[in-house]
Amino acid sequence: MTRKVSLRVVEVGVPVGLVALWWFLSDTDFTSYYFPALRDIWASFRATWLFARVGSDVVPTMAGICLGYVISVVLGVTLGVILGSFPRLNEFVNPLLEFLRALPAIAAVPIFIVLIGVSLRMEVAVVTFAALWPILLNVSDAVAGVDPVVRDTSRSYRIRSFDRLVRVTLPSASPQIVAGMRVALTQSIIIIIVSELIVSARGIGHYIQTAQWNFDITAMWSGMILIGLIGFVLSKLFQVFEYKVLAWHRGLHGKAQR
Amino acid sequence: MVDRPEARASSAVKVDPIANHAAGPGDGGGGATVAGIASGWQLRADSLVVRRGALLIASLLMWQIAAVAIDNGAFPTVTHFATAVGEVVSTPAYWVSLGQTVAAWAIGLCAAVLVGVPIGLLIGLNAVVDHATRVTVAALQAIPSIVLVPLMVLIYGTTLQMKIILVFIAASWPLLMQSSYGAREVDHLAKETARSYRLSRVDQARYLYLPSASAFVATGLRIAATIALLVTIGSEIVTSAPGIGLQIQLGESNGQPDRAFVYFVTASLLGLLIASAFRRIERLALFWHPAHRARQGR
Repeated sequence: MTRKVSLRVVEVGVPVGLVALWWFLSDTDFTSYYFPALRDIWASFRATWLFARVGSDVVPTMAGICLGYVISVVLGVTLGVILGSFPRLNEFVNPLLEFLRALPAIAAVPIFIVLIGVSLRMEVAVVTFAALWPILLNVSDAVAGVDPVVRDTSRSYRIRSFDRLVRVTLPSASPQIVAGMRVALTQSIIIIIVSELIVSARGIGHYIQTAQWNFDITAMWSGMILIGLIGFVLSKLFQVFEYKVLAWHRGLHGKAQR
Repeated sequence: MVDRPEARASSAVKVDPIANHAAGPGDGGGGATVAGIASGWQLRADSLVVRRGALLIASLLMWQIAAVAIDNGAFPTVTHFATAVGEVVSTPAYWVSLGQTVAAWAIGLCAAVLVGVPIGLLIGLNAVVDHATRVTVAALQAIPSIVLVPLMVLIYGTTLQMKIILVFIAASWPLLMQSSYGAREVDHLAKETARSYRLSRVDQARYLYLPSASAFVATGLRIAATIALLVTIGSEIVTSAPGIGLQIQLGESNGQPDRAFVYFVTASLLGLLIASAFRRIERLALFWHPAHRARQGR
């Protein structure tokens, strides 16, 4: 018990210690032009992101991520369920979907920019293009792979197809759906940042790019740290979501065995 | 056959290659036959080549229709694309760009393997070190590495070195995390069996730790390889460092979408090649796993 507690303290203590170390070292001799003092970065961070530019830069970025992500999840799950229910069709289009998922979606950003023009719509479209495939493939795969015994049992009990979908198919596919959603989330963040770095009129990526052009290294760092924090917070939120959704699955297969 | 969690998962959280493997590649609903289909059609439909060919033709047809419908100079038709392929692929510039991208990817990934895997294994072997680094590593790997592009381009310019360092940073985290899991998650029973048989430390490493960790490392390698390509091409697009990414960007902004598409398709094929190659490596690394042996026995 005490060992567990002390391990926990170490777990949290090390990152806190590292940040403190960064703070004090960068306060003394260890600064350079490209690695300014953390104290200055923090001052810039407070001036910019708490909360002067939240409305003008943070909100557009988050809107792009959220909209694109939600559209991908809805589209991916819907199409995935449809594909998964028709094994022959699923098998037929699978190579195309594998191709679309394997391609580096970042490479499509310049094409989308010219295709749609710089706008929130473009960002949402390109996020969807990146995030849709991992979800879609996972869902169709999982739906096609529902345990045949379970599937046939629920069918022979004449459970209505809607109930079967909501209570049997989707729950049993959920571990894989969640795995796809996790990949899609990381993709969404990367894509939005890249499209803002390339060309944009607002957003955190745009702020970083402008700071870089002006050689305002401290401001650039504050933007980079903000994106790092956003990435970290979103992945933590996703972990909580995953924990809730997959509670039954863990109870059935996970920790209980160990 | 049972549940297939984590299949196709990547990044951020531990990926269990064994569960991943149990899912099996592309066997979802395999040879399901629908009664009532004429047997002649059945025969043709089951031939893989015909099916792939039909899919390819259908995709190209859809592309052509979409391109004609959109018609705004960003999205070439299949015919324009096909002529551009001939023009672009015969130029040395194409191969130079391809080489620049692949070089950054390969060197950065190799460096990440050399650094990330040993450190990860050592972290996983020691419970205290493991706990001490867990939160830090998870936090650092949650940061999208692409955000470092503006900083790195200031320091190193639009060079190969800049790309390599970015790839190295981005690819190290999944390798490090998966390796530490691999070293940590060695089966307890197997560990104690090895100990009670008094296997020497060398033999334990050779017959227990390495085979068991190799599956996790291979999964980390696959994730890292994908991320590495993403970062390489992303940094080329953002900074105009030479490579495939730059060519896509140039083609689109110069009103030559057909040329841009040649490079885009090249990048896509590269992605597909990398994904399938590393998936194969992953499967090889699981040679010892019962599910794999059962599969071969069939």
